[in-house]
Amino acid sequence: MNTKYNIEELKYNLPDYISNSISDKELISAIETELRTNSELRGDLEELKSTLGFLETSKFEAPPNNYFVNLPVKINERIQVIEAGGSFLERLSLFWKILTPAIPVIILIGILLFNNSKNDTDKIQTNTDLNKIELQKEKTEPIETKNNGLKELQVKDSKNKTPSKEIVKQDNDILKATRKIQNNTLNENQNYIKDQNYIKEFETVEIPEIREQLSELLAGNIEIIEDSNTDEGVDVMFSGETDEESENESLDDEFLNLNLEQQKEIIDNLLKAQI
Amino acid sequence: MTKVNLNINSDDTEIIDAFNRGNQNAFNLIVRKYQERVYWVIRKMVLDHDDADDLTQEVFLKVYSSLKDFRGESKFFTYIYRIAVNFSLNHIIKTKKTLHKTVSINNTNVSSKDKKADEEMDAFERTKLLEEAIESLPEQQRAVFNMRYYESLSYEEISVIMNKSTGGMKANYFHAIKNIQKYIKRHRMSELMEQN
Repeated sequence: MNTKYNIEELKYNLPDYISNSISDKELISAIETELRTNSELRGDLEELKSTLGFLETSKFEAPPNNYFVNLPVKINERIQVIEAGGSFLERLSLFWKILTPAIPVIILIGILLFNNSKNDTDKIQTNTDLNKIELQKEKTEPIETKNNGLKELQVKDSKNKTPSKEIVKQDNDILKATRKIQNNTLNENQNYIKDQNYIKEFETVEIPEIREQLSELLAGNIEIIEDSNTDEGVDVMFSGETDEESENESLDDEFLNLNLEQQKEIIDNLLKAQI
Repeated sequence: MTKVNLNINSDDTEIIDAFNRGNQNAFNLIVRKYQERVYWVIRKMVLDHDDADDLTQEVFLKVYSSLKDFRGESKFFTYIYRIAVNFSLNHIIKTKKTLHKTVSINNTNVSSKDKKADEEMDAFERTKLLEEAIESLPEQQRAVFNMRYYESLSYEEISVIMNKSTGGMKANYFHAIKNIQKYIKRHRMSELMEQN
């Protein structure tokens, strides 16, 4: 075997050897030498000759007449369309090419904006609730101040050791009435907060009937709160019976001494009793 | 600026320069000069005339849009050829045709009683068989076979077009012919078995 060319190289040059297209004489000589001794290579040569012979006799069907006359015209037409900025459909496809990646971005921005506006609404709602509680607190504060003033007066009177029975009675009445208002307002506040919790709980539980009942109850409570906030309400409190008031007072004190959980329980029971 | 009288036999560089200077007629010359070769390169790759027609137009549109970037590093025809081969290979890969192509036949030429018609039929059968055999080749072998057998391109030119080594192209050509031969042999054997 020729040392310059390996058998693979000689094999791959066989098609060119058949078609006499090898110019390298050394290569031709190497192939011929190998063919004399290598039967496998001779087999490859015969097969290739047969196949190339078949290929020579097989022709592809020619394209239609005048095809090559019309082809430059068709190409020019397409070039003109492109240079004119593309057909309507091509421009439309360009529009979609731009819009398609933009759609998810637009949707994302929309979702973000929607969430922001929703959060703002929630914040406003929370602020409204807090304002309501704050408002009620503020209403109790002047009464508390008044109460403190009376206490100071009492201390003064006791220091002077000249208590007037009428004044003391009046003062006691005012003090009791004030305490009652304080307690009522406190209860109302607790009820209000409790009601808000109930709303949230019932919203998650999703029991329409109970929700409806609770809504009715809440509507009643709000009315009560509104009524008690008027001057008329305060006047009514001032004109209440002393014994009943003292009883209420002791109950209120007891209630206030309870821990939060116990208070909650009592409020729950009261609410249920109202339903 | 001197006006050059261009015709289809003008040098490619002259035609391209004229095109880059804004002479639209220069591109028509390029089309007329190379359309048949480009068409046949593609046709022998994709086999179907309509597909070859579409792809030939696409190739020239590509040439039109990228001619200003042609630096003359290779022969202009090699440049067009590379585009044509790549378009054809992409088309073959995309379509992955499983059904064998049917070759249109002029019915007036077919008559079993007519000896001439029998010869025509035989030629038709051979062409059909050849198309099927070429279609059965792997894409790269098919491209190399067409370029070497039908276009008589040198292995150096093919290796530039395919961006592969010369030795690899020789091997591809050899295996392409062997595979065509195997296909034809299998086909003839199955025909014999059907007859028996």
